[in-house]
Amino acid sequence: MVENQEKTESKKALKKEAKKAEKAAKKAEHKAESAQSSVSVSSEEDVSVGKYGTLPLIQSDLSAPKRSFIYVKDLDDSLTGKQVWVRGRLHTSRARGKQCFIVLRQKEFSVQILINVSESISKAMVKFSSNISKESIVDIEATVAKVPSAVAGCSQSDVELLASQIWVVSASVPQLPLQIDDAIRPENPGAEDSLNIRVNQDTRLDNRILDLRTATSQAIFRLEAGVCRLFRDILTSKGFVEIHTPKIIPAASEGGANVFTVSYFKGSAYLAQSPQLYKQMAIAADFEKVFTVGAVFRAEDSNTHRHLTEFTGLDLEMAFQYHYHEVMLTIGNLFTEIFKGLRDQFSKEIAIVGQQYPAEPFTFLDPPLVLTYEEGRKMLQEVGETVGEEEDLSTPVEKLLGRLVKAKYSTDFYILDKYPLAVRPFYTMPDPHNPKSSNSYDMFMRGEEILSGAQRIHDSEFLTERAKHHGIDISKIAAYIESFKYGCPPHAGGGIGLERVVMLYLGLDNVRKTSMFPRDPKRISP
Amino acid sequence: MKAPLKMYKLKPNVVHDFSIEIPKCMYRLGNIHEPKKVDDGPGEQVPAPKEKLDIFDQVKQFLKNCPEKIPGMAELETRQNRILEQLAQLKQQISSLKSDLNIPTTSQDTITGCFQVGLKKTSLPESLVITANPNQPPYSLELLQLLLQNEISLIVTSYLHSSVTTLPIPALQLQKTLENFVVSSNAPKLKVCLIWKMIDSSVDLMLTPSGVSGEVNLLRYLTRLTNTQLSYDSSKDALEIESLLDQCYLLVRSRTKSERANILQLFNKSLAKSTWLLGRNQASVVDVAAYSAIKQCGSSKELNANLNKWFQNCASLVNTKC
Repeated sequence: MVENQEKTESKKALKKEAKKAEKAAKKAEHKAESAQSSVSVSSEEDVSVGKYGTLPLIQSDLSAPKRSFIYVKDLDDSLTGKQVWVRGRLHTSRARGKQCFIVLRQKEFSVQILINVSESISKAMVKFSSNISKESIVDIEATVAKVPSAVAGCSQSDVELLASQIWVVSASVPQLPLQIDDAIRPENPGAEDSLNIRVNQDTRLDNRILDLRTATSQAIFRLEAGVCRLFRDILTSKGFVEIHTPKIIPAASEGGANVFTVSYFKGSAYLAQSPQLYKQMAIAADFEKVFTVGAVFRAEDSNTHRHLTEFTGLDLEMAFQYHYHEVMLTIGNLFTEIFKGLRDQFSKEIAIVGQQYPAEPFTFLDPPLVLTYEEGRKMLQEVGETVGEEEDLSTPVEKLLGRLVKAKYSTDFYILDKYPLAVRPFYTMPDPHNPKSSNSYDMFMRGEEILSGAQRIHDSEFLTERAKHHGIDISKIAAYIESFKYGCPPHAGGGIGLERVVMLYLGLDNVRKTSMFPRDPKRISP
Repeated sequence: MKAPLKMYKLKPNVVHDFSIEIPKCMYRLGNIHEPKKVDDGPGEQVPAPKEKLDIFDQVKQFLKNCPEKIPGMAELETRQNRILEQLAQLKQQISSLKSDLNIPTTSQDTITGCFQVGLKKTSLPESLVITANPNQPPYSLELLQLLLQNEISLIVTSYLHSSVTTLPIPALQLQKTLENFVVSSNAPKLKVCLIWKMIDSSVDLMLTPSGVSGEVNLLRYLTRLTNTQLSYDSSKDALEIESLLDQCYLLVRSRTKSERANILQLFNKSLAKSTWLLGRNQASVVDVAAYSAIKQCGSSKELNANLNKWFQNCASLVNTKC
């Protein structure tokens, strides 16, 4: 019985082995065959040798071919029939039989490329093209062709390119940490049929370079550059001088906000949390109107959508004749000018961002709307929100007021003037008639504070008195008070955070979207 | 060939017409579809602001309706008289003080002037926000500002909304006229915030929770809210005024010349031989609306001699003041 069993088993084993051997033989045969066939393909049919492949590393060799490239954004039906060279990123590729479709991306523009098996293009070339990994940079020679129906999903929808050469300049790793397609998917909760794959904010920030390649990010940072340029241009035309202030400072310049400590040889120093002191010193040094653009550091451990530990500050300070409204309205008009510039010069970028993150267009008034703190309080009172006469507005109340102002005056930007003295720093000039009020103002965009400014006290004695009233150690701010000893013109100013302004202008939900490499309490990389 | 099929007769399975015993433990609700009784119909339609304004009439009516003397009424009366006497005394004291201190008494006029209007316009807000389409400038504001200058001074500040890139010249001119207007000091001030914005209607008054849309409706709102020479609620020809205001609205919306001619004909009839519309010798709200409507649709050339005289009269009024 046992023997029998063994026999059968061995029989089975034998059979199995035989089958295996057969399979192996077949496999080998197949391999040989396929190898032969591939050999035959390359030997017989590959007519496009030298028209595709991976380029050697570009080391600026003098013998490199001289080709003139065309930008994807310039491709249109006026170029039909012409042969062009384009360099771009391979966005997607998909092979279908003897064809391969490639979407080539360049910044926010894209075009469809078709590689078709023909007498000059071999099957191997098509296969090679379809195997290039996504996000690789490729050089393509192609003929521009008009398409009968618009290409969906490409910015250049009325033409496509019929490729004749394709070279890989810089290959990407095939496994991407995030898919560009997912990163640019619009956020519209209303549409149910659309795919619901999103890229997490943290994944985006961990792989910031991939995320920055999206059309939306491209547009955001171009707009941010625009804000910066407009700020500089408008102020320069108004007679301002750009200054650069130190970022390593000996002591906290503004009371309250936390500062980063850095070791400074044998002692320690701090990172500037505001260029205010230096702006004011420039005024005391007769520069009359100054502005500065630079990094500002805040060691506040707040993980909110609008706080960063390092951001770009756009600050200005200006001497005035008799009334600080001269300065306030200058700043207000500066904003109106910037908004106008963005509306007129960056409508395309705004539209691109709007596609992914839909938001109501930013509205503003010219001249800017100025409300007093009293009027603001009254408006809040009408809807049942009581704010004390000497109380500051909390963030939700600020947002509510923003909505009320928007409903009444249809503007997203407004100035709130005459804040109570009690909620402002010690160097704020008190109101001449009302001891509870002060010559200070806040500016708001979409109900969020973007600028806080005031007339500063320019008299050293009065400043000492105010500092004592606030219980501040005079010896610590001696240098600040010192700077007003030798006479100083009356002045006022303020500063904005570039990232926050761009975020609010575009109606984005997070300031990290408008900071290229954001720094917050939980992130210092990349 | 075939006789029509005979069908079964079916007994009705639901019977409708038998009396139902309604339980008495529940509240009875009146039939809401029944037409309302005639006597309380018009009362419902009286605009709310008017009721508020005529508080004296209400009190009078209330007192009339009281069947007998209310207990304590006499006491209240004497008390009131006493207070009035005291007030008179106080006034005398103050005026004697004033004459002692050589303070000019002109300021007294201001106070009474304020009081007269202020009393009636309790619900008038401190400031009004009006958004206007720059292509249809609300010219009525310039006439309104002028006609009301002794009763309410309209202080206009204008803003350009981001939806408008450049302001058309007519709107710019109106803006200048409105902003340069010199307000007389003794009338209560009303801040008007004029925002040029691309909107569907010509003019919107922003109120919370809902606004007033349209220039004519804005005028209606303002005249009802205040008690000035332009108010017409209590005048006999209120209905005619309403219909003429509607015509002003139609005039702005009209497309063809003949449409306009028909409306202008109506104005002409209303003007007759007098200086102002409705055959009055004083300007009314209709003049304000019609002036603006005619200026907006640029049909001042389509006016006949009679209307033209009136229109020039309006225009010169505005021009001389500025």
